[in-house]
Amino acid sequence: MSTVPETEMTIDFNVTEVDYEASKTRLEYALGVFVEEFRINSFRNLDRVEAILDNLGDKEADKALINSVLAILSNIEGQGRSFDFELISELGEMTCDFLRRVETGSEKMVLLLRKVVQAMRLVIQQDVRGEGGLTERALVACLRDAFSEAV
Amino acid sequence: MTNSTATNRGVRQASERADAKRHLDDNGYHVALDLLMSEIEALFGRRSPRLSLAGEGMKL
Repeated sequence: MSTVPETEMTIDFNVTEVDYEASKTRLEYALGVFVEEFRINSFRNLDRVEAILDNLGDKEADKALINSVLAILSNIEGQGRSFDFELISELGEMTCDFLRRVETGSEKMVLLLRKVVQAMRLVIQQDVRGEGGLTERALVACLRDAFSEAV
Repeated sequence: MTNSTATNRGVRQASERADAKRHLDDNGYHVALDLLMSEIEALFGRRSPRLSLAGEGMKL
């Protein structure tokens, strides 16, 4: 008995000419749609992070809220890497590492996280791909210092 | 003009418009990041010299 599944799809083996330019345009368009979706989802997720930050400060509930922020930022971190937003992934990763080490929220920590959200918004809005330039590297260094002091 | 050529031209024009807009916004973006870094440092009572204003940040 054959294990090959039956399918209705047919392939035209008589195609002799491939329009590579048209295929490239379609692929670029599709990638553009995915990137736009990433941007929209990221902004929505950053809105959610800000809403959670509004409620941080009640010590009993803090760890659960921190974990919610961690989950959202992990998501952005992973998707960012897929679409060459390496800097966004780096910011997300640093923030997640920090959040894993804290148990309760503090005013300073909330302020710092709000700055991270603002920075991520700016970077996505500006469509900064890869690791960024001098200013972005300075931002990473600045946040690295801030996180090590905030723990 | 074929559909494919028209699509290519549309994609290219949209991309050029986005590039132009991005370039115009560059100064604002770098200044905003710089301000953000200053605010982060102020949270911890620090202030270090910024590269962005003297370097790539200010494309006047």
